[in-house]
Amino acid sequence: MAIITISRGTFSGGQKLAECIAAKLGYRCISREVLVETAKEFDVSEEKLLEALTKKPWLLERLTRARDRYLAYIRATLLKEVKDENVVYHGYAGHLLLKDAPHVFRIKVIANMEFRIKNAMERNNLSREEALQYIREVDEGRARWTRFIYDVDWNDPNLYDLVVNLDQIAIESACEVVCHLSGMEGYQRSDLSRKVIADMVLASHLKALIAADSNISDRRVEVVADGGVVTVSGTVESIAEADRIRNIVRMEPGVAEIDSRLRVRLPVWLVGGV
Amino acid sequence: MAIITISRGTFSGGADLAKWVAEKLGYRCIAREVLTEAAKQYGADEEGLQKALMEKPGFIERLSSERTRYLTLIQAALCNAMKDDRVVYHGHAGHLLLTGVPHLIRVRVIANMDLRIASAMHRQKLSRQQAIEYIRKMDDARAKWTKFLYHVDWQDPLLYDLVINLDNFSLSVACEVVCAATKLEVFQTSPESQKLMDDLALSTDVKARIISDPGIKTAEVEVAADDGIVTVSGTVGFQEELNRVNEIARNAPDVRVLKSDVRVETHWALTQGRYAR
Repeated sequence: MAIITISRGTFSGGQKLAECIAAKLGYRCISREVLVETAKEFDVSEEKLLEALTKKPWLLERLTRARDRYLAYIRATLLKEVKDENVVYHGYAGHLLLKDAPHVFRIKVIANMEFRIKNAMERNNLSREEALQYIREVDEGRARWTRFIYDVDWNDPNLYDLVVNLDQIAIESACEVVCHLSGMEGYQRSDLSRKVIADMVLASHLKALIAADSNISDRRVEVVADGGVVTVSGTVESIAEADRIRNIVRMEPGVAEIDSRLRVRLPVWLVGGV
Repeated sequence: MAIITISRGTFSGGADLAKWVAEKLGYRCIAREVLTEAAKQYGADEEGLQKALMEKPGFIERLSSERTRYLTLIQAALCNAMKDDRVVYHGHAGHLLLTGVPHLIRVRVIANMDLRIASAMHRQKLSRQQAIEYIRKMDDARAKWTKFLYHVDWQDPLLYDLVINLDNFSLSVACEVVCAATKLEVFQTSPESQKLMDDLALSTDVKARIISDPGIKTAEVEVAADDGIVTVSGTVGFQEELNRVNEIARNAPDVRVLKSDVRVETHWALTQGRYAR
């Protein structure tokens, strides 16, 4: 096993589980560290990144896609973190940010409301009422976020490999089960999985660089890497933009060949005339 | 040692998992057998039991108590089977019918639609379209059934201890997870948890015997059991039925002491309808 992601509602005991697994398997346990690293690398504030990961989308956001840029940064950083190292990630949206990455073991931790309320009251010194409200708010935000960004239902168990209910099962026991599983075949790094993840690291990094370029207006460009061959596709506003994107890709070490399938959007008057 | 229920959508691989787990642990593996047992034990028709467990509720069913009767019989048969410990049940609604038993591990198995479709096509020789339709129909019925009878969402992961996704796990890994869970302290059968299970089995058995008796038509009773001491409470329409209820409860196996708190209460409809004597 190389990568374990742990998703959880706030105050569900997921952090403790993550720490336990990491300690037992000798993995690195990360969460916020990814944001700190991203902030440093792409020169943005950590707050903005956190907002992109947690804040409920607002009404007109679909039009601006401002959030895409930050998510591209975070994804690039997270992939780099998990490339060579065994990691337990218990930060936000791990199972979605690492979508399609090989040998990711996606765990979700759930617990009943009582358990969570008690936990919140203890740790944050809240009254029962406050705790309940806090948890509801965070849950709702998370659900809307996931629906908006990835168009999936956060509660859908199909998004995870294993859902563990901590009502009965103690955190230590859950930890034991997960550690036991991670030793099983099918979750070890192979040559193929190394290549896949290296490709993903390169592609997500290029995508982040493109997203960071303020001269490129539409950042919904797809980047796929296969060995040293990088394919860029999507629609851009002008030939200059397409050149810029190709340039960014060309400058990147490790890129041997560019397969450009960029299309330039036709001006409105021309489309209208056809 | 523990007991395990495996819930699953149709063609999700749950039956295979149940068999593997049972084999590996040396447990008994049951599903439909419970219905056969219930039919035999309480003289009900198996088809009716099957329908009560599978079909979604009809439009006017809210008014009828037919299904609750059948479910009581099924619950009694299931509890009786699970009383022995070391059993895997992969029939319907196990986690709901056995609520409150501490050494019960509630597992749910899921798989993505493509996997299920492929499995349905292969096993039932269906076309892709038919397979999709079949799975949709079954899922829908299951969801409505659970909502109607237990007022819960069938998909809610909080109803289970473990949800295992077979998209990425092979059956052998999933089997490993369940087996690992049976070793956990919290699911070990203790004398106290076994007593709870026995009490549940006894109370549901007595209740099933009462409601399936042909001589009893107006009983609305609840049964509680505590280590062989059985308390029956509620109402019946006639004195003769009250006597019969007490007789059945007293003579049921494993009943040491009977405390009867059943009252005769004649509903106005009974005095003129088909029950008038």
